[in-house]
Amino acid sequence: MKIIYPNAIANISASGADPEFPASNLLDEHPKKIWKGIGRSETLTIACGASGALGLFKTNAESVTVTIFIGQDIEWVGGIEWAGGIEWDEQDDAPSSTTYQLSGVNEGAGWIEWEKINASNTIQLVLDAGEGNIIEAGVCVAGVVNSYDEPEYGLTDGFVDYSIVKELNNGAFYIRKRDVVRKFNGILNFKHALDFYKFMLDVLRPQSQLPFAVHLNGALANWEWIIYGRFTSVSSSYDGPNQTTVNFELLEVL
Amino acid sequence: MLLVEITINAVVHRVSMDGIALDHWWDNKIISFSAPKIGTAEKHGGYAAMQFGSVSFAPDLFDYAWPPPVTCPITVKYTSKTETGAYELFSGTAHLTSIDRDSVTYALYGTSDDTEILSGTALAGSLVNIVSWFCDSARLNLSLDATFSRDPSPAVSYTVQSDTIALGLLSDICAFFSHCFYIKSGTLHLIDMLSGCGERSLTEFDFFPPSYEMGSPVAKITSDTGDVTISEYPYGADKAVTAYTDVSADVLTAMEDLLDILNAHGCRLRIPLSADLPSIGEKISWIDTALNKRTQAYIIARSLTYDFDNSEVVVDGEGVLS
Repeated sequence: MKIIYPNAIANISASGADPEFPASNLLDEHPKKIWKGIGRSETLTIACGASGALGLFKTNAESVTVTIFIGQDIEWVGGIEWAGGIEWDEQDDAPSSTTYQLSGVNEGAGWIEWEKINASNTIQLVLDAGEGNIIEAGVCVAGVVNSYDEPEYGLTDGFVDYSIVKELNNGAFYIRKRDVVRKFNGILNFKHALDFYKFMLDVLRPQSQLPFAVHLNGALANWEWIIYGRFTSVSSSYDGPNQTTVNFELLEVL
Repeated sequence: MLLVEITINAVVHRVSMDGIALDHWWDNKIISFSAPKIGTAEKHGGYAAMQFGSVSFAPDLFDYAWPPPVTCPITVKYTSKTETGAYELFSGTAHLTSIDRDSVTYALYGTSDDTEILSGTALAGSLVNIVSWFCDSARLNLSLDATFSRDPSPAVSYTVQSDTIALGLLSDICAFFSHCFYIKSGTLHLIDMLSGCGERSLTEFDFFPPSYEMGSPVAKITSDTGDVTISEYPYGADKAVTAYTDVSADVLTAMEDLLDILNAHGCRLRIPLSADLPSIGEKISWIDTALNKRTQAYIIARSLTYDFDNSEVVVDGEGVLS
């Protein structure tokens, strides 16, 4: 399992945004509170601290092209310049881009990783929603990846359905469909106490009930394993000198 | 979907229960909303005023206006699909009632009209003409829709005994003649409670199990003019009314109509919230095959409670079972 924490995005801007749905909504913890572009394709520019991965949730993008610039645009303030022959070194500021196709368009989750960058960097995402659509996205999270062993077999995957269901006079049912979110229950094993403490005290505790960007099984690339959710329940037991077991519940958020 | 615009320190906030992206983002900051209700003053008619309870908001709605202001202008709308198609339910003032760790609660207050009718004012004419007089710009300043009032309109003859609030007096007059009225967007809609306004017929896919309740019987109604109307239930209660006509035959007719309504079958019908909300005075009919025997029923809606939490409208009224 991998968790992006902390969210190192300092600022996010878009090449185009519906004034009612600005790019700043991507930093809100509610995926339903979307950013909406003006056309089918827009570019997001993300100023980020140390990072190794990005999670994008509730988007209708069919493709994402990612470019990472180490450092940011560098220039003197007005009236100041180098003496002759000297200039800023921007060699690493234009690396090659990588394009990802997002599968599961209806779910709209994407997880992109790169070799960890310890310095500040700029992430550029070119999102394309396909013909006839206006691009949109709910939440964007970027930062350092915290990696753990994959959950044990026996992980459960179900739903919490917020729909209203009531019996009508003839025994049929009236259903007012509302949101349905996914819920997982699983077990993590930690062989080393320090890893366990890092997980519980340095990652879960500071975030409390706020949601995380989680790649539930880091070995599997399918969108089904990319979740924006909160750990609603965590309990652990020291089961041996080299084994600490953590039972967790992860609930997708709206 | 409930859409609420609340103005907090001159800034309009659009909030809802679910969090909805329509033309605007309606943030999910409403924790609970006590069901607003519109209902007639009496079972047999009168003014159907909207009664609002309270609304609880998530505390972080007031992040930039803490502590929360004592009063905020507020508008409540309902829509099933689009923002432009939203139906305004209420516009008034939210008054702060409580703050705790989980919520900030406001009570809702509508606008009131304190126009007075002075003692000694003589009211004479058909009910429609009297209501029209009340609606005049010198008094309530409303337009009148009398499409669904009784024809011929009953005759009113009454001299006001003391200075009295116009809406209250009009409510009493209409109730005596088994009419109700509600006010929406500057128009007063006058409705005959015996025939209703509009009609909808429900299938059994359109309502939840209803409850059929007879109110306590009324044995007789006595007017201040000394006229008495007796029902077939001598063991029932006695009711006194003020007569708003001085013709004995007209008083008796009006009171017989009241007895018909007061002793009619009552029903509490619950229907799913939808784009087509019922209105006061609407005649609603259905066939209930879940009872002991197949039963046809109708009521004239005199009270509507919009329960957004449970996604239903509770309709109370009197009518006929057969």
